[in-house]
Amino acid sequence: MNKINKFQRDEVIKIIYKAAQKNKKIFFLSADFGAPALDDFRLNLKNQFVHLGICEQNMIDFANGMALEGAKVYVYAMAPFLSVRCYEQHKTATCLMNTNICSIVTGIGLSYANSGPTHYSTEDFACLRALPNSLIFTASDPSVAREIAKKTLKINKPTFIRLDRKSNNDFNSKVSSKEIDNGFRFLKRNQNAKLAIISHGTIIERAIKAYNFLDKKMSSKINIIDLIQSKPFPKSLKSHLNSYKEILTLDEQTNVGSLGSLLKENIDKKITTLALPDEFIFENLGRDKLLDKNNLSVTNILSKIKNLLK
Amino acid sequence: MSKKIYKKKASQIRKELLEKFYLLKEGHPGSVFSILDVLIVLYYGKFVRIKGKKVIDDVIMSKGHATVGQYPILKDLNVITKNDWVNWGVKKSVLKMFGNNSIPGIKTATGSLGHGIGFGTGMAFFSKFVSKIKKESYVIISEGELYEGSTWEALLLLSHLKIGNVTIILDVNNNIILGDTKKCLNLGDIKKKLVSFGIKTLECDAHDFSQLEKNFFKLKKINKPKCLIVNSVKGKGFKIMENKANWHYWNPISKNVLEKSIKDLEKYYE
Repeated sequence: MNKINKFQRDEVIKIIYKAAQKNKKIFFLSADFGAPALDDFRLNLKNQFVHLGICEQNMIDFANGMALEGAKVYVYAMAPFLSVRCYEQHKTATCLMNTNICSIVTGIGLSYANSGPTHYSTEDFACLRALPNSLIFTASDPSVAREIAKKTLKINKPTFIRLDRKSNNDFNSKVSSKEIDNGFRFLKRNQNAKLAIISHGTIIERAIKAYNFLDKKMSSKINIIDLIQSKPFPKSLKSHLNSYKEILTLDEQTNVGSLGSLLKENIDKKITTLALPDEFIFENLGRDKLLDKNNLSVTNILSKIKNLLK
Repeated sequence: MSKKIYKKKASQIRKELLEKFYLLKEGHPGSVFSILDVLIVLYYGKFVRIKGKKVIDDVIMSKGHATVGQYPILKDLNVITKNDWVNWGVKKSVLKMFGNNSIPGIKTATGSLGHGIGFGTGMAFFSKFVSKIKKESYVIISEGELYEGSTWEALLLLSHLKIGNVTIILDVNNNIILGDTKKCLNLGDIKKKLVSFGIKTLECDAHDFSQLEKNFFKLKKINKPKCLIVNSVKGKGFKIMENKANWHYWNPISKNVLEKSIKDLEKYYE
């Protein structure tokens, strides 16, 4: 187990930086959003970095112009602004023209607690997955973020990488390239599991915590699946999920159009969902307490699990 | 290019377009005919270079509802097939009311206003600094697009990057769907605003071929962000629609009116 906390955004930027040193057609655009790893990029690859100002809409249009000429463009900003602030640009430019642009959507869910609803990104998944032609990845830990970044270098289509704001540890020492290609991985796997808990992003930590609270008899009935690529929905996961009696989704998004909805669209069986309520959250409690208070406490997850395995 | 040829093309292309709108029973004739003479000078005056079927310079029709005006010209210049033009509205054709980059010669998808300058800046930036392809990106915007915040965001960047291979063409026909722009939401002194953004701004009549040609030659020599304001007549060339806001969209007309409009047109451009 790797115990060093790392920021997902730094891991992603380091990979892009390395690739950009060799490929002069790789560009990094920022709408006034930084990261320690980006400092190296800005300093050493000045000609491949453009500061767009606090201007997400124009950043996407500008990126599209570059991509149409042959560039591979990474665009970077805080999640709520890079997802829905410039949503129409993603739709009518990037996705409609099917351009080679990768959006690094940083700070999903309640990452920016206690900044309040303007800075929370609790609907980006529902919005982004509605866009045709796009691929969506979500990182649960730094190693996954790194591998997703490597994968995006081989993708020539509109891609969204959803990252957390906080630093965390890797769950496994190394996510395999097969897992990345499959679009999902097991964080807990038992042979005779009856319940699959599916989640993405760092909220999956709570599923693992709940799992660890359970006795062996109970936990042996559970698999925890980290959905790395949610669009297109992984084909092999679709068939795999048919073997479970129960499916529980866990998402740090509001329930509208989130992970639960995605599963319901893809799997023809009962899906139980745990997500944030369909409302704006104003309280200043810190992220953990906000999650606890808004459906996503470990206690609530445990109670759902117990109910489903009755 | 001689004025005679421009006039001949202006008449011929207008006729083809009017007949197509009549067949399709839809479209945006007012906006198409206000910018058509500019397109004629750009393409036939060879400001936009075409090699074989490849269009070298970019024409980004940010006012996407006027993309239709490019189709008969691109057909005439062998970029779009005759079949696609003839079949449009009858059977399968790549042509659409709003352009997109799957149509030969059309480099961007437009229709939603306010994207063109951002696209053009990105294209020009990459071609100038990375691929080192010498070309011009002509971005055609309507005055209505000045209401979109993204237009001003893009102008700010264009000016900051000092990109000289983008020419903005601003079509001022004084009309948006609900009427006179001055009455709907006054845009104020547009030229002054553009200049304050660091854009070298020239101005001319959108239907005077000599003026257009002269200004495009002048703009080619200016290596900084630049704009040509073209003062146009909405629906230019057809009495039934000239300066009439309701002709933003196609209105049903009888066969007699169609034939008379074409006859008048031929006389007008004689």
